[in-house]
Amino acid sequence: MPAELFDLFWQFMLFSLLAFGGGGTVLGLVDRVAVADKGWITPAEFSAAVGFTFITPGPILVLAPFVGYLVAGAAGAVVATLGVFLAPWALAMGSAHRLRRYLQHPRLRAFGKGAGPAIVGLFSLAVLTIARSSLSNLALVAVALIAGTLMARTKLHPIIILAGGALAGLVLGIPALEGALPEIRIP
Amino acid sequence: MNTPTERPDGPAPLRLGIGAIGVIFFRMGLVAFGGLLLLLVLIERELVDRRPALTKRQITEAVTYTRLLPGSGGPLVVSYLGYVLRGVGGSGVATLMYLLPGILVMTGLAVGFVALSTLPLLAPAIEGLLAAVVGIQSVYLYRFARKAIVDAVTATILVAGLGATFLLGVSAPLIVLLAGVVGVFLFTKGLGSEVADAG
Repeated sequence: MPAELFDLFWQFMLFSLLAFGGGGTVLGLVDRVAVADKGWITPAEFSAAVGFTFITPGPILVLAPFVGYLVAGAAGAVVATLGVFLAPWALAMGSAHRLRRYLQHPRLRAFGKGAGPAIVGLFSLAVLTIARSSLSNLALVAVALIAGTLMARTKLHPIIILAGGALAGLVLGIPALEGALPEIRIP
Repeated sequence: MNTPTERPDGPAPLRLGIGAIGVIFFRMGLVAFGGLLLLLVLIERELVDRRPALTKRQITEAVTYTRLLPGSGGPLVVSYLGYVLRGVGGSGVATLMYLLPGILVMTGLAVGFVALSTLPLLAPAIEGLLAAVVGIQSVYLYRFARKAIVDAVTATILVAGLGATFLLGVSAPLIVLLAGVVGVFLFTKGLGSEVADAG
C-alpha cells in the first residue's frame, strides 16, 4: 500500500479510537491533522466535508470518504472509510462476544471524561480555522451568526439552514453587491 | 403485520440469512438522519415487531455495552446486533450495508465538489454554505463544551491541551490520548458509584 494511503488509513483509525462520545467529538482532531499537519485538504474543503455530513445519512464520521477522495481519489476514499469504521466494528463485536466486562470498566469512562476537554480545545481551533477561511466579509459573518442563531433557537434541520446559507451566498455573489461588501480578516 | 408483544429474555426464534440482514440494514442506512434514537426505533420495528429476530433486551444490551466505546453510536449498535444475529459475518454485512448509503452519497459529493467548486456560478453558494457551517459548528461546540467542561479540573485540562498545541507543538492525537490518561488517574475513583447509580 503506498505510504499516503497507509497514512490515511492509520490516521482515520486513530480518529475513530479517540472518538469517545461520538464522531463529532473528533472533528477538531480531523481538522488539525488533515488540514494543519498533513495539508491533505484546505480549510474550505474541511468545512464543506462537515457541512455535507448534515445532508448525508449515517454518522458524522462518514466524512472520511470525502476527505479520502480529495487526498487520493477512489482508493483514498476506500482506505479512509476502512480506517475510520474498522476498529469500532471490531470493538462492538468484541463487546457482543466476550469483552463486555472489560468494556464496562470505569477507567474507560474516566478516559473519556479526561479526553473531552482536550477535544473541546481542538474543536475550538477547528471552528476558528474554518471561520478564518470562510468569513471574508461582514455579510458572510452575518450569515454565520444567523445560521448559529437558527440552530440554537429553532428546531430547523441543519439541511435547511445550510440551504439558506447557500442561497444567501448566491444573493451576495450578485456582481452589484459583491464589490460593495467590506472585507475583513479574522486573527 | 405482527402485533408488538413482550418476548421472554433469551434468543429470539427467527434466524435471518445474511442477505436479509444486508437488505434490512441497508434500508435503515438510507434514512439514518435522526441519530441513535431513530435507529433504535427502526431496529425494534424491523427486528422485534415485524420479524422476531431480536429481543428488546438484546437491543438494550447493545446500547449499554457500546455506549462507552469510541466511535459513532449508530454503527456500534448495528455491529453489536449484527453479531448477535449471525456472528462475524452478520456483523460485517450489517455494518457495511448500514453505512453504504452514506458512504456512496459522501463520495459522490466529493466527486461533485471537486468538479463543481471551481464553477463561477457555484462559488458564492459554497461561500454561503461554508459560512452557515461556521454558525452551526459554533453551536455544536458550545453544547459539547458545556458537557465536557464542568469544573476547574476539566477547564485546566482544556487550557493545558491548548497550551501543548500552541507552545509545545504536541500532536493532536497525543494530546487527546494524554488527556484521557490524566482522566483515568483523576476520575476513576469517583466514578465507581456514578457507574453503579447509572445502571
